[in-house]
Amino acid sequence: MVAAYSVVGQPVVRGEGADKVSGQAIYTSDITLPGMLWGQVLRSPFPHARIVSIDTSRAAQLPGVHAVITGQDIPDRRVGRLLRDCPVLARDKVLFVGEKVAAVAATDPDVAEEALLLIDVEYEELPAVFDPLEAMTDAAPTLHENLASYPGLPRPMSPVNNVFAHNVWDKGEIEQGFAESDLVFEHTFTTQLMHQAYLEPHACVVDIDSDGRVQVWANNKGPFMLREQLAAVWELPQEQIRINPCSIGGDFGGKGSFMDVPLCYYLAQAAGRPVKMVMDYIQELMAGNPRHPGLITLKTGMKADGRIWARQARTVFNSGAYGAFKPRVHLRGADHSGGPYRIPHVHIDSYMVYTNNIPCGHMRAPAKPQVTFAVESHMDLIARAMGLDPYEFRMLNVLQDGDANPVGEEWLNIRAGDALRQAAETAGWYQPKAKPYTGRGISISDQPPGSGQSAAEVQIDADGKATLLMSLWDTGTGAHTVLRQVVAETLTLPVEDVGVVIQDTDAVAFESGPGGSRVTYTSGQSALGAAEDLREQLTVLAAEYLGGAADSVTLQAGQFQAGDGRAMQLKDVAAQAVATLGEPLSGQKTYTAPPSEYTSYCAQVAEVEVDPETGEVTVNKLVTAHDVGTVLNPLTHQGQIEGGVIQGLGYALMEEMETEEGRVSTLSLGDYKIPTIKDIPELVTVLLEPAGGPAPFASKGIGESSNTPVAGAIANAVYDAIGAPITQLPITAERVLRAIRGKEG
Amino acid sequence: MEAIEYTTPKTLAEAVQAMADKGDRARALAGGTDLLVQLRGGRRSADLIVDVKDVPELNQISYDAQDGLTIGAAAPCYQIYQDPAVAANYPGLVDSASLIGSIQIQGRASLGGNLCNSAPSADAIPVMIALGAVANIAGPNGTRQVAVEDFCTGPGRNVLESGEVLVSVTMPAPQANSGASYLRFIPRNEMDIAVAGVGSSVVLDASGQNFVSARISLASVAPTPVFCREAGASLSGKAVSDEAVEAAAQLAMADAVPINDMRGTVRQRIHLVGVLTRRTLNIAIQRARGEE
Repeated sequence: MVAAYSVVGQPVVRGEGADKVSGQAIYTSDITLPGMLWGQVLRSPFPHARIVSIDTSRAAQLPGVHAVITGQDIPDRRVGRLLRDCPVLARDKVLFVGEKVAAVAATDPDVAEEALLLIDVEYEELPAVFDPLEAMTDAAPTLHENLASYPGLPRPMSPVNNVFAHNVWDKGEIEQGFAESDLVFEHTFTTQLMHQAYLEPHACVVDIDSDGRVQVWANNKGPFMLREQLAAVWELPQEQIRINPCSIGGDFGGKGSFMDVPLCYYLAQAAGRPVKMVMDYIQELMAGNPRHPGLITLKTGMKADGRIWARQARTVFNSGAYGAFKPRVHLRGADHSGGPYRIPHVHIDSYMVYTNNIPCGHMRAPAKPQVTFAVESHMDLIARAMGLDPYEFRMLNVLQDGDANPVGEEWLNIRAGDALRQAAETAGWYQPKAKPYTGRGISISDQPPGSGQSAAEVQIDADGKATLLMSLWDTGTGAHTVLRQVVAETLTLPVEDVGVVIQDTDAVAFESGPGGSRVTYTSGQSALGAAEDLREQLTVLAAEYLGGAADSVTLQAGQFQAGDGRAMQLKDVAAQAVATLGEPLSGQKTYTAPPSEYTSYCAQVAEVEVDPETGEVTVNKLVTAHDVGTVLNPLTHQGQIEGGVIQGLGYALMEEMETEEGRVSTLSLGDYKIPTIKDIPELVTVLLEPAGGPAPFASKGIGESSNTPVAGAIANAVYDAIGAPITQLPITAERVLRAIRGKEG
Repeated sequence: MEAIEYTTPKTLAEAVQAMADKGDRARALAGGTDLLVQLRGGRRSADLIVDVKDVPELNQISYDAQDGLTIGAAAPCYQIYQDPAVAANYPGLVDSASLIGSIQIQGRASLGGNLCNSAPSADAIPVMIALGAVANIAGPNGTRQVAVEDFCTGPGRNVLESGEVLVSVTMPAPQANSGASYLRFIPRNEMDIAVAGVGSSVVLDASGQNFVSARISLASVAPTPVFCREAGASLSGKAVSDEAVEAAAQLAMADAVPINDMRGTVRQRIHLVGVLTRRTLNIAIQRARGEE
């Protein structure tokens, strides 16, 4: 079934693209206010230490310095997206290399930098713990002695040392499941610390008005949630804070964090002037909020005929020094430890653990890439041990329509098997391989769109041009263009006649913003609703102007048509209405999205070639098959698929924030390696026939799904190529060579 | 970042004068792909930048069958690998010049800059050593020549004395039945620093079955680029065979004294020296035989 749309489904180029490539788009670091100062922070050189003393007197005397503050100068309150465990500035102790200890506001960034060198801090080093399993032992230092007092701490508290969240998912009877199994397999997988590698580092500007109103500019994609977090730590009413929109130079999950905003306010307060803070990339790599390393143990009970009967998972996420950068405290993606398979008995334990490492946050499909690498690698280990083809083994166990998944969720119209089949067929799964040391690997995961709340208004002017007003920041995904298409389709206007105005946080009550593949769904529905509201108003007016009943008037191709054949252009209706009203006609919608009934499966097949002498892995081809809804914009849709695949490739093969005793050593984008254009393989995209979705025009989200299965597909292809499994990411040449040698010797 | 003076001499004499005036506080700028990054990152400091891109001697690329190839120290990589005489006679040099950085970097970065930056990982140096290149240096006291294998003295350090400028590098004309090659190993496919690199050159006899001589040099496995004198010499007079190549590779591995760092481990680097020595020798042999 393909509905006839005029704007939906068209490859509309991004509205904001020209401003971005010509340097006109306004990012946070472009904001300049009269009298504005530059803030800089002094960071801890130790992973765990007591602050004995801080002497800021020399820094304060440096000409051009307007404020120097330490933890003692600001209220003793902690900040967090939900769990409020992170001090704005360290007070008594530092818990990671890079933790903020003091801050300076000065007339320019160089003076601020120089002032930092004049701050004397005396530390007393404390025993540190970096490994999460070690941190969970009683022998390890307890990093947060007052954990129980933190607002937002999940209850009941875990009795395990340094564990601040322990989540459990249960289905069936796990012990019974293993008892009924013929074979049991257990493997452990490790994944690395990964940075989102957005181009634009964290930045903010804070200005306190003369009447105490706090104006904030920040590259934060969830400004309403940021406002809540700031109100809590500053102890101000939310209405006293306004977050102003800016373009965001890349998110990939990392731009939901408050980062320096809480501190910037105290600097602005101390200096009596607006203050701007911009992290450089060294600071991003030292103290951003990267993807959690995972330690994932999977134990699976099998029936002799190849059916998966029981799955026990233990996922341990190294959260680093704080849990403040996660909106849910835990990482919900751990619930994917069963994969998209029929498993009657499931038990998942997921632990968030404090260590003296960089605090971790959210990154594209939080926890799913970690867990899916483990699940899909484990699947191949089992398949090969049982003499089964990895693809056929998956087809035997994959969820069918009507099944509940391993954590009991029931999705509409499950097409996991179709996605697998199409990926395998397109990749030529059964075709003989060209030469030795080449391999194919298959992997699958799913991504439902997140729910949330969104508010939209659509206005139409006397010239018949519409404007979509939302408090939805642009993170670079093309969402604004898609939303314009939704409005244009609804009003039967050309997409060029629909503009977007992004409003600040005063404009609406709440907007969830991008995250969890939800914008097309949540914000899409509010934009659609507002456009529909406007269309209804216009229809009533058109009927009145045409002298007919509203239900006899239809809108087609920019023209209202009455039953008797008389017609009136939409723009003429708008003009007449605006003339009568004296202001633009407006439709509005506040939409609270219920949990989606649909998920979206993505199956991938990677083809690799391994150099047996060096261990170097070359991915020659990747097939990505997607269970999609209506594709609203094939350009932006494909952009998300390709970006996600490439980010997944980086995760699989090269990206790693290496640490030594908690110190990140890869402190530049030269040393922290993301894929370059020459690393990108041939990509074949397969879109399943659209079959419904919760977002407007039966569409679905696409922001995260292609990112998740990549590492598993590549790891399994390497396993196929060399005959030995890879259980640790990234799959470096050295690890592959070791695996080859291990197999030989 | 402090304010820095900047000058653009038009002659070699002016360049030498400018360098001599500021001594150790002057730095020559060609493409700037290392220098500007280091200055911004605070890893080097300078009071004066002497932009040598207008000095004719530093920008020439000239070849003749008698005197060989002279490449001005500031000539960018793309001009080197697009030069027909270089492409025809020095494919090993083309290997290096066309894998440094990325296309954009190759538009600016020079062989001379790569040599003067004197990084252990420099991609252009091993093949210059393998080709028997000589550095032509000008200074307040006149000119001098230094074999490229003797040029680097430590990470970021070299034989250039205060006030001296690298003018050019000269490589002898290729002998009959000779070939050279450079390969490196990096974790991604461009914009990266070698975990290990090997440049090799061979001269075969007229039959193409025996080595007359060979030279092998390594990157990223010691504080400076390494000239593997013995490994090359071991091939002289030997029949071309996998065994001879393997023996040379073993000697090259023995010359590697790498460190463990975030780019690679000692073990991996020494292993890679063996693999890349075999591969570069075999490519050089093919080129010497006119098989490529």
